[in-house]
Amino acid sequence: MTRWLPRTYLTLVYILLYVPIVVLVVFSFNESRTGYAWGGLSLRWYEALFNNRAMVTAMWNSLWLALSAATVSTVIGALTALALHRYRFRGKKLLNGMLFVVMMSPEIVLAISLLALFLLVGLQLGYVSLLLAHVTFCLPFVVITVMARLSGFDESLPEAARDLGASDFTMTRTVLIPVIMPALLAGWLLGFTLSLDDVVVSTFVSGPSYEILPLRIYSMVRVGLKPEVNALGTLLLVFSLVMLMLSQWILVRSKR
Amino acid sequence: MRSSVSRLSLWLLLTPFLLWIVLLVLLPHLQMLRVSFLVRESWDTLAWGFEQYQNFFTESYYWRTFVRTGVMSLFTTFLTLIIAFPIAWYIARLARGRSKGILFLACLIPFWASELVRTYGWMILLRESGLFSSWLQALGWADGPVEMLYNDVAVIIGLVYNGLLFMVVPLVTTLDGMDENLVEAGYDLGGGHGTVLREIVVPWAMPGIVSGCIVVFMLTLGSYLTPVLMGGKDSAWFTEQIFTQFITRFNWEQGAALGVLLLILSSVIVWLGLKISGQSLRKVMG
Repeated sequence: MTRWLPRTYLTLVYILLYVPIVVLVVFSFNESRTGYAWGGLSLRWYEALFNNRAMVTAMWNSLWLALSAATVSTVIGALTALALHRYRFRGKKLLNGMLFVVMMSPEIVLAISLLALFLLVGLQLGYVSLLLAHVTFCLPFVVITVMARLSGFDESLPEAARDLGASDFTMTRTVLIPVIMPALLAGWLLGFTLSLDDVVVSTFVSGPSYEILPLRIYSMVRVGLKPEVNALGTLLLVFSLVMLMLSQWILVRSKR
Repeated sequence: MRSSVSRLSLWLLLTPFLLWIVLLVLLPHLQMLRVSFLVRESWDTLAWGFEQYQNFFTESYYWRTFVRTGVMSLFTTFLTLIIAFPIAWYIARLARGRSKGILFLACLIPFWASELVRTYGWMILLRESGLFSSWLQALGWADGPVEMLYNDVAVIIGLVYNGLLFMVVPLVTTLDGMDENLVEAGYDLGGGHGTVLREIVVPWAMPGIVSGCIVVFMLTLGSYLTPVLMGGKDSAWFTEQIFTQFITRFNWEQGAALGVLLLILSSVIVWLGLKISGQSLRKVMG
């Protein structure tokens, strides 16, 4: 078969994969207001962004929310992964299945079910409701990341520690935790990114008291295309890229 | 003694997770189910009934939107498979050593951007005052600005783009494990490209194909941002109706019923797909 055909196809698809993202980044540095003409290099949209008080507040709110959601999900996720890995018990398959169901089911269904519950128990929509919702969709990803790490774990290590007289607690601290640490970090970074990027669930469970960045971007995009959004999108993109590359790097490095 | 200690530590480890499942997954879904069986008789009285579900089948707007969303999602899934298969084949079978890893990573990176950012990138390209439109005019292929956003083609472009990675990954995984001798044997026995693909490659890759299709289909059917932003006000996506009922009309009972229906109908479609392809969920999802 001709060699150029697959190569051309591949090149074309990869170009299409990157065009929308590259265009967004390039136009965020565009002096001109239009979306098609180049008016010279400029940081004015970034400046406009950081001079906007409400925007900066939303940015901090988002970062704080992502930080707390990622931390809570990582703590619960680590405990869960350890339990699922170390113990055999009835209903274990069911729990594993639930993780996949939650990951696969449509976001909007998760969102409306949580909203329905929050309103039932009279929870004020704001930071707490957002945190609970974000933990809900982050947790399965963290558990699965940590479990994947544990499944490649040499079972003889904890046994050896126990044979040498270590208590369960000592064994966990000195053997298990160091082994799953990279997965914990990777899971945390993944959770952070998921939380920072979420729009759909947040739309439903946020209140006016706690504005977050993705929702601001979303409402700006819906109303019309403003050049500030390019800058904001680029910032969000760079943030996600750095976080996820870091998480992959940690995982790959730890495998050696 | 030993076993009771380990029971205790199991419970300690698992309690937060069980609380999460019960309080933030099961209870909310039960509450959604309960609300969906409520009927508003006057502004402050509610009664039990199936009215919200009846509405779905009697008001053609609801079920037509669902059918439309379902058909478009199936088409999107199929298109994603067709586009992704050659890429996965190249990464898994043709690329060697370093370039294999680089190609795979290069495929992954765009998906680290959020759906909102990716969709917005496409909007910059496709809108009336966007890049593609101005290029068409510069080339003399169009007289005035061309609006390429806010139609079904734009929605499908966005959805295929969002789903691509989730198709490529399982395909690469299954194709990677395929024995080169199988393909060679196929050719030696006189099979053409088509026959080898149909009789050997596709059956081998079936678990990957089915798992990719399920994930892409569920993702597409349940997506909200892409259809709304790229399809405009008239994109008539099913998730949009749920949003409208909940947020715009405050008709929670109807919205909850539509949510329950989305869950049930999507599960049924996935189940049918598994039956038709002769795969089991356990095998497909590993």
